[in-house]
Amino acid sequence: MDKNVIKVVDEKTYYDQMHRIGFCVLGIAIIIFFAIPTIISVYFDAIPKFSDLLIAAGGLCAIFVPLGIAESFVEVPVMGSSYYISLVTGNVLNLKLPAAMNALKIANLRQGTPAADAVAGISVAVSALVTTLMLVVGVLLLTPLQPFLSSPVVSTAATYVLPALFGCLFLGMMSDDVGGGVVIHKRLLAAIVPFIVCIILYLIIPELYEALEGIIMILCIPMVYLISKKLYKKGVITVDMPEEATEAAEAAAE
Amino acid sequence: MSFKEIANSSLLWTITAIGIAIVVVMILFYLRLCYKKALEMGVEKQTIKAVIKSSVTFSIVPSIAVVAGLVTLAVVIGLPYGWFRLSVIGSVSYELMSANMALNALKLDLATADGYAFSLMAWSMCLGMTLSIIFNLFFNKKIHMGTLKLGKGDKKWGAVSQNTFMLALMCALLVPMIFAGGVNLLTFVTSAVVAVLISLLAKKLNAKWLNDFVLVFSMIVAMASSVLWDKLL
Repeated sequence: MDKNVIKVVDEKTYYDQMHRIGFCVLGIAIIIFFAIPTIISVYFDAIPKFSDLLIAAGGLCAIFVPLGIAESFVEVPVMGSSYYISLVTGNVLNLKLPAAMNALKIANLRQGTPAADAVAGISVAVSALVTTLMLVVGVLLLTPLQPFLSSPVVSTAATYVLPALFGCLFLGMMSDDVGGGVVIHKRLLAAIVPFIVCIILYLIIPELYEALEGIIMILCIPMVYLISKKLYKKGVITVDMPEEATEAAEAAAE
Repeated sequence: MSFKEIANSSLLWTITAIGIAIVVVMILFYLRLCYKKALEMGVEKQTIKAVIKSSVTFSIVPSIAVVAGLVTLAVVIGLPYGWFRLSVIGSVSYELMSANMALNALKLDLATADGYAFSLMAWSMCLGMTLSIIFNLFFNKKIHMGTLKLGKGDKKWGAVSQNTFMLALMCALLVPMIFAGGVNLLTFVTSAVVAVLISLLAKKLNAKWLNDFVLVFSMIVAMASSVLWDKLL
């Protein structure tokens, strides 16, 4: 899909609009999330006591709030303004993120550009609609589908969705071509040390690793960033921009 | 009212269905907006169609896993709220954990749980996940725009710096998949091998359309293989 001729747009105007809309969408969704327990507890006269809520939700909040915040520092730069809709519909790592990565690969667009942001948004929205539709079908046909959905084969296959997804995506990550005609040579060198650190952490705390994944991602960002900067300045990591390729082709033609 | 009566009440069915309908309308609105923006920026219609086709086909299989989770969740929290939580922000493991913590807080179990327990459970499910996204509501733009500013003066460094987030994410995510060994590793490798084979096949047959389905095919084959690896190991 190399036919796209991407027009230069005012990035600030584009991102301002998309974030404004994302803010409204997420804001409305948060109101809905709170409205349901509120209506239930008021209608059935079962408003929880603060002390009970603290015992029931305190532990969950202590774990999930910092993790959710930590994950967003890594996922927002990758997913851009589509992160709002991803949060509304959930399943970020096992559906929305791979969908966005796959879309950028198909459209041959480089992450961090408005065109890539819009295309990632399309894939995230489509993916969310598919899951919602499948759940509606699941609800309507729960009784006939139950034997299939709770069969050992489906349970086993469902357990391994992530390695099945990321095995394929990993290959795309190995390439120097990061989309949009931009080629970053030797960029993976910057990931060696953080990768080893993650392996060590995994070997030391295998049970806690997945629970702390968001924090570990945050630890990896400065490591990858600083190593990339050092290697880029030293000329080890080099970049070919698409305009250079065009200029070189024009010079050759002359 | 008992836990089960509220969990399957017509009121809960109605409000969850309305909630999901509003979310669907918002997704459709967002999809239309992104579609228009992509076209305006010069992304070809054909490219967008390929992205949509691939996103639909790719999303079906992981969604079956989500629907399978609904079966488990419906037993504990009832079908309407389980449907709502999985259609929006929730995940099966998180919802089951919250339900368990709410019942433990009241020293009850599913057989003895009352309406108050359902209300407490619904609130704790909501709070644990929603509080962190309130942070996102106010800070997503700041984080996103901040990262876009990296390397603004130097286009090449800009491309490298944007790439660092993806690399950091992959470092942290890949380690448990690879180093857990066993079925995880074999499923991961199967997916990678199938992806290579499909790409080679697409090249050999000059079937470019196949490239749009590499992720779908490799994921389905790898998930099917996980059943085999699981039996063998």
